[in-house]
Amino acid sequence: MRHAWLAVLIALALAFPKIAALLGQEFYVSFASRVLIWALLASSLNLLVGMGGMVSLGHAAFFGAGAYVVGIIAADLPQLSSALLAWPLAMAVNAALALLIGVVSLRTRGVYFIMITLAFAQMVLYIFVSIKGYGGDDGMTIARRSSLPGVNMADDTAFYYVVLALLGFSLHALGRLKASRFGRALMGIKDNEERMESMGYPTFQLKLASFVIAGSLAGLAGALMANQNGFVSPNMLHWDQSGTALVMVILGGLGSLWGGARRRGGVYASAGGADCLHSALADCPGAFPAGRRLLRSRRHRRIVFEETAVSRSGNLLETHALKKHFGGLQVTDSVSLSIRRGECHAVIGPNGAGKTTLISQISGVLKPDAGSVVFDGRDITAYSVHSRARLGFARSFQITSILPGFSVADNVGLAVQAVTGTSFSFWRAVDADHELADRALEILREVGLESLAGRLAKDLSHGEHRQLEIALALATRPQLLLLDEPMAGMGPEESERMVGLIAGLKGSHTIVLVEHDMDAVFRLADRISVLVSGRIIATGTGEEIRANAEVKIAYLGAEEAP
Amino acid sequence: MTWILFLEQCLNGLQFGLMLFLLAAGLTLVFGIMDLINLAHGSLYMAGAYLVATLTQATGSFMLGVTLGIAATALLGMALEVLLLRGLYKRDHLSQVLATFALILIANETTRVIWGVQPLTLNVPDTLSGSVQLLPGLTYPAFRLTIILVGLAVAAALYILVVKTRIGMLIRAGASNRQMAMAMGTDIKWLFTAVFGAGAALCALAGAMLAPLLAVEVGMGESILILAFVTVVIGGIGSIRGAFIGAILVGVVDTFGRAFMPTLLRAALPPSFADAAGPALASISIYLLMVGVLFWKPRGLFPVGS
Repeated sequence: MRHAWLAVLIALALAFPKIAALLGQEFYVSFASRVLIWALLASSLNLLVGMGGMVSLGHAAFFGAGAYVVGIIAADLPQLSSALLAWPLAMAVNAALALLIGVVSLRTRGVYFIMITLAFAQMVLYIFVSIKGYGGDDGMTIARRSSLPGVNMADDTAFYYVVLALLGFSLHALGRLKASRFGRALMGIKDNEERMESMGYPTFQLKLASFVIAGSLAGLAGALMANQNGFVSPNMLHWDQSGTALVMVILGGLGSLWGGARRRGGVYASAGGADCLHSALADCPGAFPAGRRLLRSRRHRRIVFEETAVSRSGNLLETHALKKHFGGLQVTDSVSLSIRRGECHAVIGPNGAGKTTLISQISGVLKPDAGSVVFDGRDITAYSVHSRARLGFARSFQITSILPGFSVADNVGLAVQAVTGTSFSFWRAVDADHELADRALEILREVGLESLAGRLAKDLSHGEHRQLEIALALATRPQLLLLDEPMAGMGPEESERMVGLIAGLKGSHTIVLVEHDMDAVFRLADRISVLVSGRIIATGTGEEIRANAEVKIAYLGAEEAP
Repeated sequence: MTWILFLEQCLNGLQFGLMLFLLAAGLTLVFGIMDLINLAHGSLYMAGAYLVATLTQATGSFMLGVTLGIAATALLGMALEVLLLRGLYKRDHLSQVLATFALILIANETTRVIWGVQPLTLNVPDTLSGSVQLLPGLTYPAFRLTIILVGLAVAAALYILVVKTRIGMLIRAGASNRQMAMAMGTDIKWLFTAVFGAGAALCALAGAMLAPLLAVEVGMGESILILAFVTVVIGGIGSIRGAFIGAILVGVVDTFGRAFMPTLLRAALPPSFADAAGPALASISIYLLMVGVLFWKPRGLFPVGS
């Protein structure tokens, strides 16, 4: 069905100039070219907004800069006026511009990202306004279009086909990108950036790469528009162009590839105000529903995957005199811990003792004020979350942190992808990668979730979410599992299942377990450290901790202690 | 002579900054409390300027025109909030950007339909049309001085309102933790409408003050809207104090950039290059300021809430 519509669409697009000529309406050919160019611009923005969740209000900067590259070449550098040189140059200039803007903008999120991209676009606008040599405010006319060997570019119909071919290729490439490892990682970031980072994804670099790709594609659109209109002006850089491009993306259906291209005509032809207002207020995700499920059910093969070797003895992780304070509150006060290779080491303590803060410093979310974290003999205090993840850290979160919009299997698949091969693979479909899917199923079997593989993660129960958390942690093939209250909020049955699951991981993994459920702790832990008011007051086996007088005071209160 | 020029530019910067503050104050509250990115804030400014200009012509009195215009714009703003924007608070930023962008388009077209494409002009009222001698050698237009005084008065009134009164406490509570404020029984709906109306009134006041200096025309809201956003982001979203500091910073940096940047560059660089780069640098100086602030303090100078 989909293919049939696509074929009809392509046939119509191909026949359009002939039909227009038959009806004596040749004017509409150049109009159609403009529509196609807008579609290319919207598709490039869709890569950012729809797939990466980056709402940019500065996309016009690349559109305009691409156009100016063509304009400047036409005016001053006729030796570059071949489309084969000028257009790639426009893309390269915009890739560089996007890199520059992205490095700064992508440090911010949400509203601030929207505003900072807008600010950069304004800067680019004013720079071109002030260059009087290229027309300043008034813009510049381009005497002739870029040349292409064997094509009469001055002919509107020929130019239409060139634009159509480029749009077709770009849409195809974006489609490949969406289905690739890169695209899947990008959509994961949109869903839950923090989780992706803790799984070891270099989220900043991934977003930057998509920003650069989107910028250079928008530059190509600008170069084509300059050729089509024979005119470039700062108006192309104006922020209402960015707004219009956003409107096109959203009317077409966010994240849907064809969406960017589909509604272009409607918006272009009318001011579109009421139309897009309607779409924003109505509770529908646009004309094309986004997010087809990525994973289909597939036969599963058995593969053997190696467990992490834990044969070497000694300490896997040590903290030395860690200190952290928030304002006047010393939350972590000279905490020194040593976690032996292969042990399950529990950290317990009353509410507010600083357990989560300690775990956050170990996993790298928080930087300690003083002290160091040593992993496998290496000082990693300054390492970021994702480089720790690369070293073999895996953390389950106290508050469930998964990718709600992905299937259970895709959640784990993304976690596997984080540690196998690169995510900067833009062309090959991730679905064709059976290793990923098989390994994901293997892990789901281990945690008892295989029957739910195709379910959306947000539809799971609380207990199942926690199991999925563990699965995500396991998928990164960790040397060290940091489990932050895995039993929190669970009923007795769910808890029992979780204890069984963790017991099964013991021995093959080194585990740091933070937990309130004392029964579970004493059953699972080889050694226990007791944290009270930011200090470790005792470390020892379950027996030793039970017998420790100080621990009794901390837990039961001074009066009741013997 | 240069000192006089410098002082004059200081006053110009202050005047521009205070007008930006009138816009940014409403914007930052709507941003911080309702979590709404209102791109149509500039349209309220435009509506205010048009209404004040029209009502001044109709009544023959600037004071009456300003008062009625502000009241009308506040009502317009509240109606907009109740009928449309209320439904957007819970939506994501993307929908908000889209819907309020659409409002800009609609507002511009509506204005064209009602008032036509020709800009309106509003004359400075006769009593304020002269100049005042501030220092020997420094005369300053009385109307611009009035703008500064009005701006300072509004800033002081807002400060007292937000910091000293019960309603101000509610506003601050809403900005720092909306859910908690709602859980504690604040009638959020009413508060939101009131805040939005007040923001619209401040827009109209800015529109009224600037109308005699600039042309009242379609699209006048967009360029100043971006400056107001820059101000809000520099100051920290939701912070009135941040909006004030940010507005003065933006006003002064922008004014000084335009007044002195070309001259300064000409002293340091070859004139041909300086003539081209000067205006460009002057125009982008505030954006550089914003990028710099966000680079070092990603949540603005005075971040609100957690």
